[in-house]
Amino acid sequence: MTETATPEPLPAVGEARLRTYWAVVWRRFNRGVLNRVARAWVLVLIALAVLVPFLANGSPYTAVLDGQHHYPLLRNLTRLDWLLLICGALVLAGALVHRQLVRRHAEVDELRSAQVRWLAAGLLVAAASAAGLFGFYHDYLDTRDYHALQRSGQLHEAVFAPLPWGYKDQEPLELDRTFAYPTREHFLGTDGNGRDALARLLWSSRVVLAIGLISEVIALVIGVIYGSLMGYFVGRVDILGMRFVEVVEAIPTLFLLITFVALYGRNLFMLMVIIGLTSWTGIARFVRAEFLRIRQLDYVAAAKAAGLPLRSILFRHMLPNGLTPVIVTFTFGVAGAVGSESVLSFLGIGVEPPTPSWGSMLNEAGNPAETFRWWLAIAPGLLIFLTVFAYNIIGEGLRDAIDPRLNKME
Amino acid sequence: MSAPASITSPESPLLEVTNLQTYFGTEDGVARAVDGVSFTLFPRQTLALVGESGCGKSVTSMSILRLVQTPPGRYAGGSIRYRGRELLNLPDKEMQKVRGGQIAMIFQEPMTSLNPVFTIGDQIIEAIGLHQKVDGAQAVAIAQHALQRVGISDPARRLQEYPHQMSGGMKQRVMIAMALACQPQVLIADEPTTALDVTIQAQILELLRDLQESSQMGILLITHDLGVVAENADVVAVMYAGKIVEYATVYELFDHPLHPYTKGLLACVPRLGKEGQRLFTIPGQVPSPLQYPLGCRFAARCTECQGAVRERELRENPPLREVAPGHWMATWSAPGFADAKETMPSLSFRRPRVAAARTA
Repeated sequence: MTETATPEPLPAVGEARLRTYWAVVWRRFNRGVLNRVARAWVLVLIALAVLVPFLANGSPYTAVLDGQHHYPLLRNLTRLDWLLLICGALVLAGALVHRQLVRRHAEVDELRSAQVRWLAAGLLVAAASAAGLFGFYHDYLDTRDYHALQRSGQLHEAVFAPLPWGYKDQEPLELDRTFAYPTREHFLGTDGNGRDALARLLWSSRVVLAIGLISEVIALVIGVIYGSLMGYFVGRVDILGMRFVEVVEAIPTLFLLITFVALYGRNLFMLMVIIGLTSWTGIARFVRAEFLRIRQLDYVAAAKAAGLPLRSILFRHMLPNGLTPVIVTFTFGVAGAVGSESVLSFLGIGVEPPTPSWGSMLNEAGNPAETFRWWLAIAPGLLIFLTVFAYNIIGEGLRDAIDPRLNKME
Repeated sequence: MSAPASITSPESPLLEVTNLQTYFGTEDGVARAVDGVSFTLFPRQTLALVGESGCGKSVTSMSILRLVQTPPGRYAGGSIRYRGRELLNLPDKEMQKVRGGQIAMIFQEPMTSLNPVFTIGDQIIEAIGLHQKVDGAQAVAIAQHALQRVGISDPARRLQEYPHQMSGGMKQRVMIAMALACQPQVLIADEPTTALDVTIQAQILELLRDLQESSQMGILLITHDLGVVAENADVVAVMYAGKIVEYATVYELFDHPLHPYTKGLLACVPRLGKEGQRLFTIPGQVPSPLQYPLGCRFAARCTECQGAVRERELRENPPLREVAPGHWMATWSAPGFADAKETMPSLSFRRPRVAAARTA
């Protein structure tokens, strides 16, 4: 709509030509306002997951203790914190580099080889830093309570994070600040252990992102491989294979999870694996259906007529074309996984305390035997709703952007 | 019309299809999509396979490259010889080399025949790398040359483009370039212009003619457009219900059609200057390939034969016989059909080219 109102300068010849399939889809996706909002929300969540130690932390950035300058926040960063920071920085750098490359290269081939070089470099840096971190860096166990130190006047010139609470910093019991109403000190009040609700809310973003992405990636890998094999080997293999899919679909995930938690205790990684192992069937069905469709298409016949070997036809020509609806299913699946994690945590069989998650916060808000603590319910409930909603909007937006019937209307 | 000399020329054929039978097993029985098709294709010749939808033209062309899915398809009989080599029992590995390298094919729908996620260059170069021993730079050069040959300007840039950036005519040119990049001897063009608009049709067909002149390849042109046939074909095979019913040079066929079906087809073509008449249509429908009638498959729609001949038509399926030198057809009602012999339809006739006609 702005294109008609304000005539943009005509793109250079090279720019106009460089529109890959995904660039077209992406542009169409970004046309929707709601899509952009949802995308922004997920980006905010990702940024939050990476930067949360600097936003909500019980340790001050810097402070003078016993006459010495300390930097407790930096020293207390865990390996995971560092890894996320490095990966976040790499992704950001990658996005900027990509933008520059697209602007500079008019040729798809050049762009592609440049992209491959940069990607390889980025992966190398990521792998090296991961190896370095886990090989040489050790988490520092800081038992000091900086809030107590400050109250007793031992801490000077302390500069705290915007929210001076981490996810496991408790108010001392003698202050009796468990289940406290929102105050200036704790914007969203505190939970049953006297921990700041807002801090826990922010730290939860990590669990939410991790459970959604990792479990769906597991599902994606299994689903794509299984589905493409079924779609290719039509006939008896397909018939038996799809019955197995139905068997897997019949497994009640929730009861399986409860059983595993009862047997082996709580473990976030186990949750992800189980959710992944039981939710690949939808993706497999989609990929199978796509393969059944694509094998009838002219360009597959053309590829065969050109004498291409089966390997190339299957994986070079069919798979990339069949992945499109999978990406949509993937985003819906992420939303579903976020929802199931919340449910599990709400039931008290999700993440292990003190790791925060929105579901477990909800659990504390409404124990039926006690009073309803609205300040612990509203924010996490809203965030669960918004996140699931955002993933669903992204999924729907991608589906619309990919839909060939809408392409024609341009 | 055809010069007798060309009929008896000792040239060796590129492609000989003899009594090809391609059947499909369906739930309702066996569909005899192609049921005894024979023809011969010579170098630098255009053989048009004509017939209405569903008569088995496309299955014939798919069978030559063995692209029919088996099952449900099955090559029930006959032989396909490419330069004397039988293709129907060639191992898959060998067949892959023939496809694209020796016999190439272009499809009806240029819009869907290119893979949307790869650039034009990716697709042409992959095929080149498969059939020719060349390095990357050479393959790019060959691909550029191929695009240039089909009249695409700025080929270096076009190689970088995706199919959705091109028009239908352009895509069909790319398909032709892709098919020709490996210098095949035979090009199967399965309704190459049906999906294109008329002006582009003419361009594409002219392009095919020019490329044929320069590369000496044989073209099997599959179409239902008699205008296209009249302008491009050297030899015409008319197909009806899985069989060839008439086979002759293009001039002979258009001047002296013998089979009632061919006559009907020709009568269906609108003519300039003929006003105030409804177009002729052949009454009735093509019989289902699941249950062909015992006798002549056209008998139910035929108005020509009467009496005893008709009795025979309904009882006995007429084979394809050479009723006159260089003219094959299949109907009992034709004069002299009873005495004619069943010979392999083979005509090495090529129409005089425009350039040749000028010098003559």
